[in-house]
Amino acid sequence: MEFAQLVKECRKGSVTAQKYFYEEYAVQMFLLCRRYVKAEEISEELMLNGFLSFFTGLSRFEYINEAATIGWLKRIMVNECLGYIRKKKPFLTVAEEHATEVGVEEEAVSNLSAAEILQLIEQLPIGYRTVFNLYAIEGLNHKEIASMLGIAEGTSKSQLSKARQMLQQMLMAKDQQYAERQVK
Amino acid sequence: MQNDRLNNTLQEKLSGFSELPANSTFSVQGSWQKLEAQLPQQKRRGIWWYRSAAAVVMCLATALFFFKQDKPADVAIDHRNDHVPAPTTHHAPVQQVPVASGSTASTAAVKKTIQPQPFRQPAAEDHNAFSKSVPQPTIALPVVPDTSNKSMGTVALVPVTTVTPAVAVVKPAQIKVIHLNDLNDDPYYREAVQKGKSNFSFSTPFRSAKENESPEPRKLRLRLPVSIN
Repeated sequence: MEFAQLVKECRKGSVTAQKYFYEEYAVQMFLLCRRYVKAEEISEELMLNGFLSFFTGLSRFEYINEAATIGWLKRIMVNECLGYIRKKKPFLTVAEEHATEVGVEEEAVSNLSAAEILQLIEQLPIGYRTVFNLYAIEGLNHKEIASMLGIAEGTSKSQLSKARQMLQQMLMAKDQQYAERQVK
Repeated sequence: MQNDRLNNTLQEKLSGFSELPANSTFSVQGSWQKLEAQLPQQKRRGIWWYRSAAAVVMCLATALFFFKQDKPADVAIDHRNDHVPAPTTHHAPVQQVPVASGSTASTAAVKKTIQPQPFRQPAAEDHNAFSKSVPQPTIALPVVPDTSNKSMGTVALVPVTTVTPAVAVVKPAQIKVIHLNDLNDDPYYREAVQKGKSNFSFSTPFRSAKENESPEPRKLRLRLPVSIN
């Protein structure tokens, strides 16, 4: 079944089409939620809420192509996760003066697999992780992140800096060769 | 710049990644059952749709059944196997023999024959050569009395005489013409007098012959009910 036809059937309310769609994208969306929320049960719950919003909101969605549809689904998932994170208020204790530009070598990351990268991201604290996800993976700028999370732009920058520092340390610990190269 | 390249690498690696970690307990089917319970159910078609559809199908089937039973108009009618009822007496024609002249009522026997009419097979479908013979009913003739044996006598003729009728000539009476005024019966006059009596009263003193001879004119006194100033 073509993707457009699948979306059309889902919009009509066909349970079969919805199930097919869910089985196609459930794991991908679950991993997306896992990048923001560590706990599996909560990630699953957030993912289910996101799919529910997607299926119920399809009648208002104007279909363009597959990429736009999946992008919309991802955005729904991210919003679900951010809604959950906002309740936790993980950014209150972060000071803005700590924001310094920290670089992570791209070669070190490119040597890692996607699963390893995800594992590293999951180890970040929730505040760092959220900003890093939004900035580095979702491609948002600090202004957008600040408005989405309800924080200042400086806070977003410092959170990102801290996240990169932590990632660098984790990479150093993971790859001894990488650490030696950094010392030299 | 370095960070931008790092971001691109991360996006490329994570964008299409859909492999669950080994220690994950996530189950697609299990989570789908949870989601399906939350999803708004698709509206079922009302039972009236099925009922109305069944009714339409029944109507069509009935119409088709009756339509198939109708014979076409151009089928020839075959009379060969038709059953003919036996003829009845009360519809048969009555034939009467005419009474001969001179016969009496006792001798003039009326023969009444009731013959069963055989059924005639209708002619073949040759409509051009169709002919029908209609039996002419026998009409009873009136009985005429026989006068041939009676003799006839001679009649004496009386001479014709001319009689002049006696007409009394009466002299017309003379008519006296009297004028209506002479009768003193003019309706207009009487009406006027009646009206005058109601409104006026006249008094004319009777005079002697001597008084009539006096040159004084006769006085007429008028009494009015209302005084005139």
